[in-house]
Amino acid sequence: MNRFDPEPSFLARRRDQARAAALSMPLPDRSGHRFRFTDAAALLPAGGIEAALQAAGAAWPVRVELPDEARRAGVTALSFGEALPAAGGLLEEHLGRLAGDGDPLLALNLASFAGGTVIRVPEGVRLAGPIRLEARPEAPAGTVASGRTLLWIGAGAEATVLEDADLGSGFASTVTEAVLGDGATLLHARFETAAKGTSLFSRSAYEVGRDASLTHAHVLLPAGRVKAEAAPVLSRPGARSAGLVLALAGGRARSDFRVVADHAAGDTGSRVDYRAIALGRGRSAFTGLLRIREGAARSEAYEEARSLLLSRTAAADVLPELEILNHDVRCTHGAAVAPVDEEALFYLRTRGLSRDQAESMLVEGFVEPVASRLPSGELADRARERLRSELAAARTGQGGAPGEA
Amino acid sequence: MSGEAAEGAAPILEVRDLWAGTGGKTILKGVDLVVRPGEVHAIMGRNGSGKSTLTHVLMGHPAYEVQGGEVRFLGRNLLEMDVTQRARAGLFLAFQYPVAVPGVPVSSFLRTALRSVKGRDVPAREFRRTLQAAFADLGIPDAFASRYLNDGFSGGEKKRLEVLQLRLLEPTLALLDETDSGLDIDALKTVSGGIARSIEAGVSVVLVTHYQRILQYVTPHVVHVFLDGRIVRTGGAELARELESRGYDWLDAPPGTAASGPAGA
Repeated sequence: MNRFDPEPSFLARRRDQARAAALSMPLPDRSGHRFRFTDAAALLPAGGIEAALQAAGAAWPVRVELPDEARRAGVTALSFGEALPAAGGLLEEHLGRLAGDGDPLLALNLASFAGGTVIRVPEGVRLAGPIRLEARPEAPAGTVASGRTLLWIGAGAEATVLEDADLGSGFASTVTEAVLGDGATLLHARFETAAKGTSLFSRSAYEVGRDASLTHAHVLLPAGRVKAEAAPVLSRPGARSAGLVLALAGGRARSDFRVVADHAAGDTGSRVDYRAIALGRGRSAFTGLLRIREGAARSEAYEEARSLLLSRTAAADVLPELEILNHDVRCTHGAAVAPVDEEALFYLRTRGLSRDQAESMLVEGFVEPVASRLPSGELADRARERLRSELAAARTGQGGAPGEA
Repeated sequence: MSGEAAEGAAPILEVRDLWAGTGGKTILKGVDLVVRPGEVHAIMGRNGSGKSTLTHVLMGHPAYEVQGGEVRFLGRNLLEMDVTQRARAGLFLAFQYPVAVPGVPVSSFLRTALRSVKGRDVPAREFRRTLQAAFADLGIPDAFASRYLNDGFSGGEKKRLEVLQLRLLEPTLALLDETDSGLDIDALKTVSGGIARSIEAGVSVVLVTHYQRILQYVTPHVVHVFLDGRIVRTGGAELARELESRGYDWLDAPPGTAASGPAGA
């Protein structure tokens, strides 16, 4: 089942291992936090892993936008087909290393991914403009469209990578692995949408080097189901990560975000800010683990997860989790789920705003602590605009005023 | 300092035998109130007498249930209108405890409110000018424009912002719910000045207050005393002074005279 031609032996080997792993492991169940709020089987077509492995994987076409300044500075953005001969060493060293194949879903992706992009930003190159990757997969019945992205950010380099995954039909799985060299800075933002009746699984795995700084942003706007995961590993002292997450689940959509901030070294810092809105019969979920390893003294970790319910039939869960093996650290976490503030709605309506306008204003205020931290104004505007239009669509899609469902 | 009250003109607000409450408890027990164009009415009374409830019921707060009576605003049945419709029709409520809306900057809130109430967009430059003038008028620093609405504001700052909204939105009738409470003397003067300028501009006012001191700056045409959910006495500005010196005890209704329920309820 070669996806690329030629497919080098290391990849064939890795695919075989992943295939065997996928078939030998049971699907994760709800006993662990990771799949507490999503049935893993719902991310696969009928017939499960076996059938998905047998079906020819759907294509994963990506539109790549690489700014001229990046090209001139020696930055490359290649499809896997192009990268395998050209950047084989980089792929052999890192492909699958960060995200792994430790469960059937990740193993399935590695065994069957059919497209994606490999981006290499040479050491010391600082890019002003973003690199954009847009994938709009359509998966035929019985298949899982699978794609991967590998980002290699050299020491001291600076880059922004904006990834869009917009699933039109069926099931899809996308895995991004990002390696940040010492002193590198990466802003990685993902916008993830999934049409009604579709399911998208994504994982973003990061390795953050010494004094390197990662900002990872995730905007989840499913009409169907999105299960997104982020896993930054702060591997050397001075590494920092900041996760910014916005999620909206209207209609009957399901949004499930998982983050594991793994402090593998001392003097590292991580923070996660999550804001979700559920309306109609939508459900949003957050599980976040702050893991401080034994050697990670003097680390600081912060996590705040808040969800807003705009209707009585919407539901939200937030579940923070700490695993602290070194006590010379500072960990803070907060979590809340609350309905819309009726007094605030009344206040805004006494100023002439309609209920929908007032609710939108409260939603924008609610997400502002996250939106305003997005490092690029363009990104923040885009997140706000998408949120606004998805909110409007979710409202009309549910066929009634929110709050009265 | 008040604008010209139009005696004999058609009322803008007519409240007839209004009964209302919340959670099964009746709070308003037959309120009658008529406000004509340009009039300033002060409603005074003890804590818990139902004064604030009256303003919230008139504005359409969803927690209150109207149990009887009728209310007409500019000839329309107010009780059939939702909160938004009441605001757009020209009714305004200055809150005793304005709600904080974190994440929403004051300027974008005000612009949306202005657009919603006036039914037209105000060009950005014109809006900025209007806002700057209104800020200066009320002694509010320009930096407030980018602060989040009422978030972390002191009591005085919140009250100034309420009066600023009164100035900007130019309603027909403003219900001011203890806008003078919690203000020091300088803030009281500034806030009262803003209210007085609105009155001069033609806004009619129902002012709920505990204290006579705001009435030194905003002269009422009519003073009402509220007791146990209804107006028990009405007079001129001298009634406020009398209350200041005598308190409320002398007005307590003799036993057995309280109304027992809304007519037809």
